[in-house]
Amino acid sequence: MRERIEWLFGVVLRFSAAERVLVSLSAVVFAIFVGGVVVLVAGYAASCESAALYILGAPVCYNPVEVYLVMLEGSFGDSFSLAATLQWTTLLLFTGLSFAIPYRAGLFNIGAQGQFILGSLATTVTLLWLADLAPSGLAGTLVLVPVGLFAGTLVGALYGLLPGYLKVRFEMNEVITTLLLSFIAADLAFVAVDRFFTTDDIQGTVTDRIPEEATFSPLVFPSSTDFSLPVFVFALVVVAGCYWLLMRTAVGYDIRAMGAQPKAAVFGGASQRFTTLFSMTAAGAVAGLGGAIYVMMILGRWQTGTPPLGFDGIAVSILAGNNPAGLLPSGLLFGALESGGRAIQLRLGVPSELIEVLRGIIILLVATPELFRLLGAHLNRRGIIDVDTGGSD
Amino acid sequence: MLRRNILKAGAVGLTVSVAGCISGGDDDDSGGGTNIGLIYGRGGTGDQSFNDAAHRGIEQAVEEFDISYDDAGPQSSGDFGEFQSQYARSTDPDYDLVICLGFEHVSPLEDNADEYEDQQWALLDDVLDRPNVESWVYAEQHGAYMAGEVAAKLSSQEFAAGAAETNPDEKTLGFVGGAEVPVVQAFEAGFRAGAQSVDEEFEVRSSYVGGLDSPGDVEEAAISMIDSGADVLLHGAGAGGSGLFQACQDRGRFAMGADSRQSETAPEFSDVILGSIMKGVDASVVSAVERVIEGEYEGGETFELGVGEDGVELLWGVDIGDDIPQDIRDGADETAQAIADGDIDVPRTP
Amino acid sequence: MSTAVQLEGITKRFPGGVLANDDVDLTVEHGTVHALLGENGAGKTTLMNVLYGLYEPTAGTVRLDGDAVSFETPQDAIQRGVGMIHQHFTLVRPMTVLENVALGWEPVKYGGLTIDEATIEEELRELSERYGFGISEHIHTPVEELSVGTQQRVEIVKTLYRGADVFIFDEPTAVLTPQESEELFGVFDELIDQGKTLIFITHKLNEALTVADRITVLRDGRTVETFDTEGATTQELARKMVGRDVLLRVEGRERDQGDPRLVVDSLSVRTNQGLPAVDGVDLTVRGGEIFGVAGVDGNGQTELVEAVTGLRDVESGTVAFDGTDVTGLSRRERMNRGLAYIPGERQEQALVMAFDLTQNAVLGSQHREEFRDGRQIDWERVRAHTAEIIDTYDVRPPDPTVLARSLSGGNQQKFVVGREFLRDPDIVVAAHPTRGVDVGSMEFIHEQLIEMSERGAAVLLVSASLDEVTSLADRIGVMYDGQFVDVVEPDAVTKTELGLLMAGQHPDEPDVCREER
Repeated sequence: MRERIEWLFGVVLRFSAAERVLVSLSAVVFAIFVGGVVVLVAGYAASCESAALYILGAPVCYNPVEVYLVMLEGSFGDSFSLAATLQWTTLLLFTGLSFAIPYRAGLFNIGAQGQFILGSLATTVTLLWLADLAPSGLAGTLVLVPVGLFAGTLVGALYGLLPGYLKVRFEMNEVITTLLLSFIAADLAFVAVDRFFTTDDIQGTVTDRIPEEATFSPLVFPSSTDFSLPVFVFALVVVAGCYWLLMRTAVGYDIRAMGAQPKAAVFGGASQRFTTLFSMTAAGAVAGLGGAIYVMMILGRWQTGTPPLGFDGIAVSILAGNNPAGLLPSGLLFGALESGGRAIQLRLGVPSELIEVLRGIIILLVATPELFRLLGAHLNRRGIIDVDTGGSD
Repeated sequence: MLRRNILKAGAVGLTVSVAGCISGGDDDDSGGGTNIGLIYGRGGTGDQSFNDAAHRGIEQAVEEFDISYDDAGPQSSGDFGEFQSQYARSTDPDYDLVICLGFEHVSPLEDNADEYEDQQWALLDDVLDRPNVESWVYAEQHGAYMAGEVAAKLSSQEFAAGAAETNPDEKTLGFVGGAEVPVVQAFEAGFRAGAQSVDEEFEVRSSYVGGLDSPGDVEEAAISMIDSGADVLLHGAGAGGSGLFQACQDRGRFAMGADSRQSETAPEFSDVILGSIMKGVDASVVSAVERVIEGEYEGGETFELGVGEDGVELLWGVDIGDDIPQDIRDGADETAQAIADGDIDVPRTP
Repeated sequence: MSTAVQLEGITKRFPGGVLANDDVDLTVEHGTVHALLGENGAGKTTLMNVLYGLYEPTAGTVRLDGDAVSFETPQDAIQRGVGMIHQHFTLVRPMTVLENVALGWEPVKYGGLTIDEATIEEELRELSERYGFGISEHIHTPVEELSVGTQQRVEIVKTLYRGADVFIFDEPTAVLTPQESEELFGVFDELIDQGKTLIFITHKLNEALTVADRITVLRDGRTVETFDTEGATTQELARKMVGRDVLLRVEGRERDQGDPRLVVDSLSVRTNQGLPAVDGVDLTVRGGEIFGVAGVDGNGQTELVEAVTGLRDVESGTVAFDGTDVTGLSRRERMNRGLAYIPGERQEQALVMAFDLTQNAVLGSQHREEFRDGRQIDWERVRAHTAEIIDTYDVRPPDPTVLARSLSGGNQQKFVVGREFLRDPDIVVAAHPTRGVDVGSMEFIHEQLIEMSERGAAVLLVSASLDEVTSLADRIGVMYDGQFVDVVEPDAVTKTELGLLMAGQHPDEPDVCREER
């Protein structure tokens, strides 16, 4: 039994990069198949007046092929759908990075959600404060956009630094602290807006609108969409920058060595204190930057009910093998599932719960090989299993 | 054609089993029926309150008129605008009316109403001044006034029913609200005015806990009010209301609910719930649909629905409502009539 | 005497073309200890993995007691009485000895619902008594709380419990102290007395000569020769193993000694648990000098080395390089000041196992100017540097893209030594530099250490091997309980005297036991 398990982990751990991509792709195909079966079963169990198709004479309410076609169409079919997909992808690139960077240093940042929320609030508050001071028109944009992005980045960075500091100073487990700080951030933001920044114009825990000059207007895409192509390009540049940082620079080298083998990293002169603080701060910064973009590109103000982008980012990153280079395809898949999911809810009346199930199945199956690989590497590092990960004698 | 026709989806196999969660369907598409889009408040159906009431309303409209509808439940702040623009953009079908439920729609609707100026919108439970938006709001204070009157009358006499009793020595009532926003504050204002119409000396203690889903905080606030003499308490705290019921049940005092008939939706507390203030969300959905069908749609209008217009009513508790003395119940009906006739002017702000 | 194991013409070619075994023959008689001797990478372990059912041979036949057998898994091998004790134990560390022994072979009660612990415990005690393993009192102790030697005996008991008659030991002494090794060889005798057959993989010449009845030498995947131990010499064995004459012991030499380069002054250091490990040590190493530190493991050598190399904070005292106090400087700054360090735990410390050789070549220099290109690491220059290490230090395979973990222990060590020495260091700290390394690499590493000192570097050499210390060092400090018992010149003491010093007894006062302190 043990040999079998170790053999299995060994196989997974020895995958080359190309094999890993291949495994992920076949997992997507398999997931689509399994998801289709679930849709079919659910459609059989549901009762409806006229069936979408008949199988052996039995009425089935949802046609899986139709569901997938609508999903595809709803995520890439026209410029609106593409905008909805890329809008989500853009944000997931940031929160995905926020998990990937600390992961390379051997740390788990579960707190991107909190860093994202506080970043978005900081951007909003800063822009509202500057609204009256800044010039209007292009000059205003030139001032407000950088300042808005910077405010979110800064506050996110500080909120990422906090668990990093707690780790190096008090040896507090970052998994726990980042997760709890996430919840604290959500409540903190709620109270702050409710008490100090709430608008008089409309009801709810909502701030005033940020100035028009600080919002990103859609270019290329239809004006009613909340997606701006330059922002997507900017996100890709940030991802590329993080890739470069991790893979090409000495600091990135320290981080990767620390994540792979802490003792060897320390031997090589890297400081665990520094890599922890640095990578957690960087993680918070990119998550906060994502929050800034959420406000400046989509909402135009701060409002409760922030979507769980920070938590989705974890799955995006794991699917990407925690490598910035893999974040784009992984983020696109998640973005497409989001927008495609909305489309099937709107157009086919498939209940949103079933869509969640479908998305869950796809994510689970697609991420499992990578997850299994991470688990194997972790157990091997901890010495719980003994896997020869390459080479002979 | 990508249409589906589901009347009622039952338990969905292994995956989904809550019938109330299933998005409803539309009737047959035949004939040039009217198409309605309905976007719920955050969370969608299954909240035993607003969203479910709207769902009931649209189902009722399906039965009464020749319409088809599609609905969607936003899960996060980013979804409201997305769903609005998707419905507005759609040409297959082309929606004659898109109904938006709740105040969280306002911010994105400010943009989308301008963006899609040919689309007819109806906003429920909040007001937005746009030429293509019909706003429907409810005079919560009317129901609260009636509740306050009933509460004050009961509190002034020896009264015991179910698991609770009054304390005639103290002229104190309590109100616990969720967010301190106008729709909730209207409850407090009406409740106090109603109580003081019985006896000027009545004091209504009030507290706002900040959110709509924190029963713990609500319970704490309610306990402290009960301990300082309040014997009938009203909440306007959404799902947090269960905290108030718990406090009342523990200490043997009466409670009044809001947003739905809570002696039914929260049966474990029905032995302390005197009655519930209900907004006529379902009725206004039907009305909004009807106005479109009849060609009476009027963008830019705001309808404020009071007790006379099915906008708000006070429903007696299913368990102990009958124990309330008949003269008090009759008094409530008279008050309703008086408010409807404009003889009583109920304040909306505390 | 009959044949227990016979391997005929075994060839094992791995996917990718690596030929690990090439037509190897091996015959092992019943009731004997048969040593399989060879350098790292000679194919010893591969051959035994074929016998144990882990690998399927590309060609050749495996015979047990004359019958041709074909094992698909180790379970098949165990069924036929072949057991293997790996270098890295296959024990589940948090589980008790009993649970480990029973794992997968549990006699069960109630249709598999519970394990019949009483039966196992009884059998374990019986086995422990019969073979003198002394594990009876540890039966319910989690394995991770046992010493390495005891863990190894648990492995042996586990194998015995599964009914093995043929035992394969893969470099069993690599992880043991000299005393534990002696105890292990006692267990060997017991096993032979009970009629078991042992195959003993090693690259240590002395062990093979002491323990084995017959020796088979493998080189480059082929059988060189099989012969009786009687009459064989280490020199002869070494030549067969490496394929040429080998200098086993460095002869005395004369050196010019320069100024003090490494000065340690009243240094005190604590362990991770906060216990005193180094207690006021003074130490001066001059340029051109090799200062040896001898002692039984665990007497503060590790902490001393870590304090010097910047891996551990000091409690009090100072460390100075070339007259500059570096006590407060980071590890990186010390490396920038000409420090090279060859750590004892090379697989844990000196190499990132999941990185390839190119990435490992820059470990410790990643921030240095010479490898920088603007804001990033100049990977072109690093690649050139990697090629230089591989060429100069004969690292095999000479492929810079291969992962560090894929190299054999000796080649890993050559790579580390090459990387550290190509820094052209002024101060060299080497901890057990030849532990687990084959004789060919050992000789090479010794030459390199001497060359460093001849170039004027100060060398601090810590080793558990007395041979190594006495043959290389100009002076030897013997550490006991965090202090130097004495600092001696190698020619002025005998091994016996050194041994006494290591036990904490000063030869001048032979009757006073220092442990009283």
